[in-house]
Amino acid sequence: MTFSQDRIAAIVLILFGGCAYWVAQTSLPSRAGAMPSTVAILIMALAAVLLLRPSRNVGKEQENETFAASWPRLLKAVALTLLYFAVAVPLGFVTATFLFIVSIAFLAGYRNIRFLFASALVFSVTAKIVFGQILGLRLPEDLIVNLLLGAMV
Amino acid sequence: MEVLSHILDGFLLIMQPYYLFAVILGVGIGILVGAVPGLTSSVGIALFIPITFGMDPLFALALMAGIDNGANYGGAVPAILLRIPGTPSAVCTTFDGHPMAQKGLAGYALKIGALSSASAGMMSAIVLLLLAPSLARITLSFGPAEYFWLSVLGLSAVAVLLGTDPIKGMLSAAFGLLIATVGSDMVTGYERFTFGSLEMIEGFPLVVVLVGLFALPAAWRAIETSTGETKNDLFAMLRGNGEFVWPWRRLTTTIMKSTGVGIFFGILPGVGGTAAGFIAYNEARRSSPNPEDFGKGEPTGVAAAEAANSAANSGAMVPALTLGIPGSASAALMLGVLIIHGLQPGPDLFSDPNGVIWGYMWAMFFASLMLLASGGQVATRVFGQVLRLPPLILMPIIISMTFIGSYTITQGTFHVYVMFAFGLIGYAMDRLDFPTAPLVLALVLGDKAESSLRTAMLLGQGDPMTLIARPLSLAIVAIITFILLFPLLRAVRDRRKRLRGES
Repeated sequence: MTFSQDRIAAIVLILFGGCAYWVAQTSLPSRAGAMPSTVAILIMALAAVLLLRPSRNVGKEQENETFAASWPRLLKAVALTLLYFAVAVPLGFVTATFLFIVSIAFLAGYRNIRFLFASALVFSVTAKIVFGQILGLRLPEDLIVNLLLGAMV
Repeated sequence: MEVLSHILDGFLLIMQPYYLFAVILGVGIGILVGAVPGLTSSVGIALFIPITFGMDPLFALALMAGIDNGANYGGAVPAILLRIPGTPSAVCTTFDGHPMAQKGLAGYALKIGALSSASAGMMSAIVLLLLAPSLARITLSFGPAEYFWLSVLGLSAVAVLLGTDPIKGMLSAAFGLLIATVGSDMVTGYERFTFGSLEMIEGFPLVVVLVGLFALPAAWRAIETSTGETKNDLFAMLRGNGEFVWPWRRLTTTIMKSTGVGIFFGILPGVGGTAAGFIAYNEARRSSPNPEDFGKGEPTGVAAAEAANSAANSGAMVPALTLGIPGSASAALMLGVLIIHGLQPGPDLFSDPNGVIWGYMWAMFFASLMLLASGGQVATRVFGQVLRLPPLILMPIIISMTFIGSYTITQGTFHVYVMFAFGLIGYAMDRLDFPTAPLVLALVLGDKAESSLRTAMLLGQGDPMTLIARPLSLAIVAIITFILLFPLLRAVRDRRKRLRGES
């Protein structure tokens, strides 16, 4: 039995179903816990089939595609996304978005710096105006931008 | 007569400039989204759902109808120019569209795509307008048990028939059902899986899950695989220099036939536009006087593929609006949009005094009409250029849009992190071939399925036989059994065929 990606997924799902079942059984009364418990059992049963059946070799597995085409690029993209979400409120939407677009494109290998800076600036400012001012959605306030605008006024 | 009066009211409603603007805007956004390889109509819809919060429901639905139809056609742009299907349903468009582009006929291939998509979309929108209201009336005789089984039927059909692996489809649906239980239990009031968090009491907002599952994985994947190069040779390809004679008669026949195929397969849950495209393409080749030209730049090949996948789009909305069973992933998202805007599928939807749903169905029609008006020239001159935008700049912009969508729901970062977590789940599901549509459908149907089950059991004083007491319930259970056994029957048939071939 080869330890394919499917089997790893099956083990994760069995553990997940087991945890859900345990929480439903220990912390919920029977009426509220019946549905989650039943679904958790279903997840474990289906995952067990996925784990034990012979390898099907279809879809991406058949096309010899790996989970990630490039782990370093994927991890950079995911980590920078998380960092962007974390700093967007303290830094403000325009500043964080500008820095995010520039850093992610640069780290992934984009080298037309002038075009990159211009696109990042145009998008972050336009998005703030369109969503924040025109559509009335509240986006995180920019301390630096406000200070600069205040100094200009 | 009542239906005709509703149809007329819906027409007058959508003709208001405000709503027509929403359709035009949606089509533009949709073509842009569809033209970027890796971004499907589902991504476009998911990205723009949060922005429609607080908007007039019909404006939101008209915008979404535009995005849905626009993206469906937009997928043909890279399929023809680069041999990369912008959306999965544009796979068959590459077969003849790209060879046409190589012959210097890219502009004509795009025009045929637009013409076929638009005509098929308009015809299928009319079918939707005429068929959906009468089908919805069937549900008037449904009780809680039937509604429960209907939810199970929808989930089974999408889980088993969509994707390559029924087990993975069912796991995806079960995972969605479990997520749907998070939050305060509607009967007892107990908090389920909230772990004391106040933000979790109402469960995961559907929109946050949708944005995370569809938009983030597509953006990460594009960043991961992009080389940062832009395609500068597209200008020359779009200008073209080949000679072309429009085969009007053959095109008309192919479009009509493929539209029928698209509507039929679109209505069947889980089959969708991709399969409809293949079936229509094969039929066009089979019935052509020159089948050997297919794959070498045959215009009717482009027409068959584009007409079928566009027709499937409205076709998939027929069971979604009437029974709450969407025929495709984008129909599942559209069902989510309806529910977010307070509209529930079923007969009540069609007797809504505001006529929103009638306006929406007309929006599907006008979105296709816009394709006819803009798809040819505009797609050739403008939207093809979107492919020249560096994905390494476009994708962080999309990630930023996901932030706007989930942050503005509660003005807090909790749901932004929830969206991020679903992004990771969506990425893993995509890479491991787990279909995401069953998960979305389970989230949409989960609450209703559970409440119907509990009401039915309460009415039957706890007797489980209540669930199959009526012939209608039994009939739905029989269909569910057939769907669940379908992969097994197919495997047996394939095995027999193989054995016969060997002997």
